[in-house]
Amino acid sequence: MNEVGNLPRRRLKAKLFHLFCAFVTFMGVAFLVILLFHIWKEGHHWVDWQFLNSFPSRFVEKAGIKSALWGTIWLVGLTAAISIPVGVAAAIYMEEYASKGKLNTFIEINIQNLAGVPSIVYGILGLAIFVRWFNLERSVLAGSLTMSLLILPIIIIASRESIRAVPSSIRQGSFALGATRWQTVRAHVLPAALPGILTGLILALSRAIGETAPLVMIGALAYVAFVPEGPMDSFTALPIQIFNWASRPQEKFHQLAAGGILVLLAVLLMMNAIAIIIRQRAERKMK
Amino acid sequence: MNQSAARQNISPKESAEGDPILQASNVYISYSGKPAVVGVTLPIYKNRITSIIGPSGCGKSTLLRSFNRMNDFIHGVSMEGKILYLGVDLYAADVDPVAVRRNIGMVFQKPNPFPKSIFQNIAWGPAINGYKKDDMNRLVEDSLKKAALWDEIKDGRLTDSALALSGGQQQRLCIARALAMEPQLILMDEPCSSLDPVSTSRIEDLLFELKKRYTIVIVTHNMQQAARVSDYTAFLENGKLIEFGETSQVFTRPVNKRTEEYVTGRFG
Ligand SMILES: Nc1ncnc2c1ncn2[C@@H]1O[C@H](COP(=O)(O)OP(=O)(O)OP(=O)(O)O)[C@@H](O)[C@H]1O
Ligand SMILES: [Mg+2]
Repeated sequence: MNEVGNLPRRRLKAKLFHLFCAFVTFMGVAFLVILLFHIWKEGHHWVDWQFLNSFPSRFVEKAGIKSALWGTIWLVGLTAAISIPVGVAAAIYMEEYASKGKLNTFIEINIQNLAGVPSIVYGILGLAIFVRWFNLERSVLAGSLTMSLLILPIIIIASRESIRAVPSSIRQGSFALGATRWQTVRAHVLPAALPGILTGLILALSRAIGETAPLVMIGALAYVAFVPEGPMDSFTALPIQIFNWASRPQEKFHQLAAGGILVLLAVLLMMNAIAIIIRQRAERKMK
Repeated sequence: MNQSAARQNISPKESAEGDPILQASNVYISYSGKPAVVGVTLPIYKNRITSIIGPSGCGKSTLLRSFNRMNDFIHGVSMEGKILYLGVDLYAADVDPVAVRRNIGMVFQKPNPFPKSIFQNIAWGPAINGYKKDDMNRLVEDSLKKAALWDEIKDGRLTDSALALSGGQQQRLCIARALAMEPQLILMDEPCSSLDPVSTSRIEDLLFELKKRYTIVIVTHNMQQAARVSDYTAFLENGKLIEFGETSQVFTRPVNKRTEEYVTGRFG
């Protein structure tokens, strides 16, 4: 009965905390909306078919984002093709196959540290290994390999976590039916972990789309007047193009940069939407 | 209680049963050096229900899991002794543990259906083991009938998610899933412990039905259940087999004093 005495105070505290959380959330969203609104106002009238379908130019009216857009699509596509199989396979190996010993813990800690390494460091690594040593030059392949290194830790960590979250009772049920480990992983663990893995992939690839520093480091070009036709072609990417425009003195080019940001956001949203649709399908199947 | 004395407690009538389908001899199991099962010698007879009873932590689940090599997945587990299944040493170097689990079914304490349809839950095991697709519908139906679940789901619920079933139905689904593999021996680890009395008695009825065609080993904490359903009872304490014999004898005329105290509820 003692409790009744401080109940009003506890209620008040709960209420205050509630308000505080709501306020902070609102602030975050508000800044985002203001930012987006600003960019939209600056750039939206530049975004049209001509903008999407033209190469960069000294003349604002003729300038477009075609090479950067296709460069980004190539970059993200190749990065996904490289990093998703490697990352998910590594996660499966570490969770389902490797013995849970000291080595495994050591590797886990290292991967977590790698996720925190600044992206410019990956750029230097990519320059040394892929551009110079493998002689891939300033190709979109070199860029994708570098990006893959950058996002692999994110993919591995997210995949491991969602694989680990699959209840072991499901694995046991599967093993008890005489399933091999691979059959168990394929039929039960991966489908159950898929929603979580996809969330990790979205995060990772979104990061790859937005990263600029490693691309600058390995020498993605700022001015490209062609679309890459193969993995060995040189390329530019949306963030580089945007930075390039934004750093010019003319006001009009700043507006072009805003237009470029809108295109970048659209690509990002589209990717996320696709991933969310796949995830919802997977989740519905589980129920 | 030492081991030879434990062996003496095995009732003489068992010889009437013929060769056991599974024979554990001098089984020692430990987790990272900590002993959990200590020198257990135990026969499992064909078409009989054997219950394993004993206080919590005495090694019942550990012993049961060693019968289909489910202990292999536990880190740091080590095992000594022999387990012969139909004359084959389950732990011989040339025995594939996957094959062992194909032949010996297991039902777990908590129902663990796959998050898939009822049909897929049953069909998956046979499918990965090369069962022909054309017969699958029949096999699923038969298995559900044997597990006394068919009547509740035959009206178009086969494609529903298994997770939509009640706990008792889920457990019968898990039994059906094990039966679909056509095992000779089925291991059950406290299959009723998470179920209500009605579901429990349904599963007990089912056990009587199943014993005509299968051999069952069941771990249970429920003395009445052991007394009701099983033909043989093994009493474990601290990893040792204290007493094994016909259920009627173990419950009414136990040889060992600890057994008597346990089955009459004075400890445990
Ligand atoms: N995975 C494990 N790792 C380490 N020790 C374990 C493990 N599983 C069981 N043990 C230990 O082995 C002993 C026997 O455990 P077991 O689960 O076989 O007992 P049990 O008779 O089934 O108990 P309960 O009736 O509570 O289920 C216990 O002391 C337990 O702490
Ligand atoms: Mg147990």
